Amino acid sequence: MPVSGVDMAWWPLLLIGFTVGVVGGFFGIGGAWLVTPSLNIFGFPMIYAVGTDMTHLVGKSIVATFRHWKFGHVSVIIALVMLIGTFSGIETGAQILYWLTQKGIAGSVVRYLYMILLASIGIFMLSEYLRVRKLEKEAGKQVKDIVGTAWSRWIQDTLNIWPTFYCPIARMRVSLWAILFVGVVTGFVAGILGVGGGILRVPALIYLMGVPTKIAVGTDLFEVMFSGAYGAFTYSLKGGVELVAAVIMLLGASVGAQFGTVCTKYVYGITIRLVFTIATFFACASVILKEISSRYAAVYKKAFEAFLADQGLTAAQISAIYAKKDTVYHYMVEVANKPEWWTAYTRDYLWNQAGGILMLTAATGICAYILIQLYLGVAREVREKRLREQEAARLKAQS
Amino acid sequence: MIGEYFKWAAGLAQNSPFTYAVVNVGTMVALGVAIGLIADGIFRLLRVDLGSYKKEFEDESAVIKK
Repeated sequence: MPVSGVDMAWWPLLLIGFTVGVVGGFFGIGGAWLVTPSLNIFGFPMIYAVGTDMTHLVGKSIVATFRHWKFGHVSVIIALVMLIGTFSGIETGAQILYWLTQKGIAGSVVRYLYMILLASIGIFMLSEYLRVRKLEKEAGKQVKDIVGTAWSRWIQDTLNIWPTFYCPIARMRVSLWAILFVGVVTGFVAGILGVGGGILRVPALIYLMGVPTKIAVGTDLFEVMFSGAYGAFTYSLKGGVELVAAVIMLLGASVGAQFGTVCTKYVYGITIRLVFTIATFFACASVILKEISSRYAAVYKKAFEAFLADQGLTAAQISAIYAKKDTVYHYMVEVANKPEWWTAYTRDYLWNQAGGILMLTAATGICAYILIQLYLGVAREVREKRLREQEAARLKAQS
Repeated sequence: MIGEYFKWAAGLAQNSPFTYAVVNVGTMVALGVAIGLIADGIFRLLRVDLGSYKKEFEDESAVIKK
């Protein structure tokens, strides 16, 4: 890799790209919480993982949005207005994050907030799914999606202020202020958490805006194009992007995104919500593992970096040391003579690896489920088409 | 030629981060649009209809409206 100087095979990048392409195309999220730990597992340095993921996301979201747009899943007007709210919310949230960082409490506060939020979203969506399935059994009728909630109705009634407009894609009349409000709220939370926010925006579009599930997926992907471009730009400015890796990942993701987006045609909104719920729980588990590893990082990180700075190393050189375990060992044990730092570093590293393996397993499992659903959907469509053709031929022969 | 492009871009990361950022985003946008159009062309060639379709929320009887 020309920027980071790391030796890495191309196939893990292609496979990770494909997997998150399938998952992202199906849910409408960027999926940084899946990509960054997975990249790390294959030896890609964490300092380049986030930026490289953000960069490949730009191309992937264009490919996936294009397909969703063809299906009629993208409400451009909602996405554009929400984008304004999202960016202003992110900026405000980022200021609060900066304040928390200065107080030295950002890491844990943010992670606990994120855990609570993800667990709440997951539990709420799962309980709603189970309630619908129970209702189906009682009524003896299949429910394919749920449109609107008491919250979305309250927001639309309370913020029913001019200018309002009819959105034909989502089949709803909505005030510009209602969309801005939801955008600011989700952007604010994403800003505090320091995440892209797709995993928050999709449920927000569904539950706070009352948008049908598939429209929420397509509309969020449209937003991801812009937020991804912003993220890619800022990370590139800091030199945290490996363009070769981003291009390889994009090639895999473009193929995966076709499978993921096409699958949304064959499953119902309620199924997308169930898989999204499972993904939310995995994301929550990933944050818990991150919190555990950060406890070990607290033992050595500050002291080790201060020691390296005393040795005359720059911030960039310190970052480069973390990219190679042997070098970390050399400085911690042989130069600084602090084996306890090395023990804490090893545990931190192992917990991070555990998070990576969990996320990789989750992504692979969800990806396999989506591909099976796609296969079943296509097979059903082909079967129905053949039956229609046979019926037409039979009628023709009779006449 | 592709290898040279990546080497040139990596050089920008060291010498001109702003240009590097523009090149990165530009490369992704160009590739995304190109791949999107190529994929659409392939679906057309294979005669796979992936246009608009009747969604489940358009079927009032199968949707719970709150």
